[in-house]
Amino acid sequence: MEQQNQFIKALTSPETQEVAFKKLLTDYKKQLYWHIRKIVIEHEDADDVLQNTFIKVFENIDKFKGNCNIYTWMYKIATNESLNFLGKKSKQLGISNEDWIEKQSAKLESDVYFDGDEMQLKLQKAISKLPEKQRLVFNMRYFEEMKYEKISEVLETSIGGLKASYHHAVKKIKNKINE
Amino acid sequence: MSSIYKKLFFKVPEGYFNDFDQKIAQKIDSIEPSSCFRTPIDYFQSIENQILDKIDYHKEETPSYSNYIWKAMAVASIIVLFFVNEKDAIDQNELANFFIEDYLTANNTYEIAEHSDYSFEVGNFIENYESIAIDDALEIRLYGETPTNLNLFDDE
Repeated sequence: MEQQNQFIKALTSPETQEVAFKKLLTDYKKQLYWHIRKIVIEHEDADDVLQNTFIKVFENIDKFKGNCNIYTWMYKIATNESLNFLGKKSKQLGISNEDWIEKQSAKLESDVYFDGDEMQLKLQKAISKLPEKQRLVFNMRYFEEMKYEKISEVLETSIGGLKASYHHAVKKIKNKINE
Repeated sequence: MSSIYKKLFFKVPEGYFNDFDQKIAQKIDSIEPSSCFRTPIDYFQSIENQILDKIDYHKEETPSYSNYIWKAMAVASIIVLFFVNEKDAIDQNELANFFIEDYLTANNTYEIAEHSDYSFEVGNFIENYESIAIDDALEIRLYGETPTNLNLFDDE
């Protein structure tokens, strides 16, 4: 915790913030990118959201209270930015977030940045049909192998609720894949 | 066979092996281990500079009115909450019924008889179910499931 406090201090102090922010970027760019990519699906969209996320992190670092891990806080920002992005895109087309994601998943076959086999494609399509919260929980738990405690901090949901969401997501995916 | 046939006639571009390691490392870097998504090959190298270019380290602070708006909204929310409190009481009752039903379904009469009076004291009973937020419990009920069915009381 002491180490984190010192790092936050470095991020907010004008003399050290440039170096500290570069370190933050180097350390967390990949984890955040993959988290965002799972939510928005396409690389170009993930790239936009990742950039916005880091800019938000920089602009709001002085508001970080230090009551959780900085990574958890950044994860929260990345999740919110991704969901806002989905909201904007789907609003432009006059469809729901879920419909937008389904549309994106349907394009995966021709996506040059997706090399999944038939089974992985089926899995992605099944995930895209989940309600938003279940989709988030499933990705964080299954692909990112995050602990429920951590997911609970990011999504601000009780562990019981998360376990229920994950349980339902797995059930629906199994059904969809076996169809 | 003379040794001339052993000689290879294939060529590689000049300097090919000089940055071969780096190319492979970049390629591996662009693949996420647990899934089938990829990024452009040197994406993680270039993205850092793109983001750093957008950061203005010496930006002057401008007075923001958003704080005042948030404060006004907070006061408004407290007033609204005061009026919706009555609805919350209904949710709490619904939730209590839901947990009691779950308890009665999960335990047969013999098991219930074996439980000590301690577990039936209202405070203790609620404490057992405290790990589940109201909204989540209502969502679970929407799916036709119960906390016990989903093993929500077991450790991970």
